[in-house]
Amino acid sequence: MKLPTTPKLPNTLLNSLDELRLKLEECCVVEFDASWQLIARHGNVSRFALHDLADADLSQLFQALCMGLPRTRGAELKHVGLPNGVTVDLRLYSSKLSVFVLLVDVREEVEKARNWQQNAQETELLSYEKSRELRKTRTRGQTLKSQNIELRRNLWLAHAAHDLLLIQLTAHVRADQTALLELLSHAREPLQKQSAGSLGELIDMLRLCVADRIDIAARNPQQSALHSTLRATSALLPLLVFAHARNLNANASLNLSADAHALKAELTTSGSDLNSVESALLWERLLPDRDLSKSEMALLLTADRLDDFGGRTTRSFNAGAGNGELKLTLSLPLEKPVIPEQTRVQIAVGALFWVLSQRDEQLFAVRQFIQKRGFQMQQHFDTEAMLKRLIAHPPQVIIADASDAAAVKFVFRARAEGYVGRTLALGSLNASAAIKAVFDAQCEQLSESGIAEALGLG
Amino acid sequence: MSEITRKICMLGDFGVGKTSLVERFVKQAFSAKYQTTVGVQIHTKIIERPERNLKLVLWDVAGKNALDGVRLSYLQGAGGVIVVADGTREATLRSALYVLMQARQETRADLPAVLLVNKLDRLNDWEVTPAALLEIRKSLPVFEASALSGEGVASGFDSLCERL
Repeated sequence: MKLPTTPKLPNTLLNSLDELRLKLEECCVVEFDASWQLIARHGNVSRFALHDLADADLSQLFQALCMGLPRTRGAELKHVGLPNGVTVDLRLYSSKLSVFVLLVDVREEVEKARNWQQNAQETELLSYEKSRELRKTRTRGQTLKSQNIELRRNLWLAHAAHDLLLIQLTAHVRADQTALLELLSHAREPLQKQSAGSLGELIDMLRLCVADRIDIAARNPQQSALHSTLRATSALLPLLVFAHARNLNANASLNLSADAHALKAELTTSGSDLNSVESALLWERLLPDRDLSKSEMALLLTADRLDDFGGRTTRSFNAGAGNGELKLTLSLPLEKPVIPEQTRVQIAVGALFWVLSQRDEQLFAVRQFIQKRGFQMQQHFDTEAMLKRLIAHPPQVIIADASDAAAVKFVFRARAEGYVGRTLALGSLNASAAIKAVFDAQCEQLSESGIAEALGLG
Repeated sequence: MSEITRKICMLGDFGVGKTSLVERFVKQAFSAKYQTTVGVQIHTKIIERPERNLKLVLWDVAGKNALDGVRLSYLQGAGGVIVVADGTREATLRSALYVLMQARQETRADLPAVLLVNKLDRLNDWEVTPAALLEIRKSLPVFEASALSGEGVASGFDSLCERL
């Protein structure tokens, strides 16, 4: 290592050079005058790629580098990457006439630091990128989750609306047993007799419809006081749907009692009192200027059934009981129901079959309803054995699903084999082939549009 | 033609793209490979002007979220600073503003400065919000830039040059 030893160098610089010599550091010194004109290059300037730079360029470079630095010992810049690619520690010294710039080669040291720093920073950047991706994924997951919740909510609302329609349709079916009897003119047993029953039967029927969602009890379940358990069911079901929709996470109970004249149903739910909209729906049949919620629809339906029965309802609210306790008491006269003038049978039967394949518990309920009255419901009919059985023991009425080509074809074959009873085709017909098949099978058609119109849903 | 020389320091957190912005401005080049800076890297660029050319000495200071003693020493004689933030890392914006505050404390309160928010090419990943930049613009020129595409880079540097 060649170090400058000219006596013009200031002592402080010489001391530094001695220190560097001991440390075996490579260095050089560039000397300028007060106006940054190059005076001399000392030491191994070629190591720093300064030997072939013109004096003027060197002056400009160091003037720019040392801009603003105090020209005293201690003015030091560490790890300076020069434009020529050399990395140096730069120190400034001065004498009366000159400025000395000491350059120390720190390339090796900087390279080590760079490797270490590069790894550390790349790791941190990578970690940040990963956490960002994770956040994005979480956000996407949460979006999907909330969309899923929204979809499930919509599905639930659709189910709720469907339930209400189902209840409404089922209620019509059950309320119009007599009309059904007229349609099925040769029913084997009088339905009127079968439909009368006890409070226990009513409870069973209600439980069948609302599962175990609401606690239902009667003071005397064996009491046979009802002319029509089905009709009573149709009146109480909307009330239970109301209770369930309003108190999804709370308890609700229904207590039944009956005397010779009336069935009394006492519904108790925890929660708030009826609001103004609910009260208006129940007692005044006033619709709000917006879509109804499920509980409101159920309440409106309850009011509708009360009208049919000539029943009445009262409420009481106990604000002091937990979150509040609402009690609705329905009083339903037990006299034989008046059959409406219009024949709702087509509506009821059509709708009934429409929902049959969708809801297992309703399928079960309707199947029970049909079978209790001596009718057969055939889900698997396209066999020769079934056809022979039909001819051997012909039923009074065959009801076929119009949208099921196999069912219509079966009726056609039954006709061809000599079946002369009544045949009904349920549902709307969209294709001409289906219309022809129904016509050929001599089926009377019950359309869904007629159902919707009659129910005021069209 | 005579020229004036001005020292400009590039400050900001590591990985925000200070070196890439300088490379883009000086050499019209970009390297996707991340190369950390140790200490300070000096670049020069001459801006040609009708009256007098402007020689910029760009001090590309190693990135950190605050200025330590070594980094503060690089600021001596600076005519202006460009603080750089990474739009995809919101924390780097705070670092940029913090180092600017430190730089002005160390030098002078009216030290000319601009903020370059880099990585405009990854706008979909940006954490820095337009509202945050709008607030900063009230007190500091802000340029969204991309060292990769070059968008906004010259504007940022030119803006500072006009204020030197």
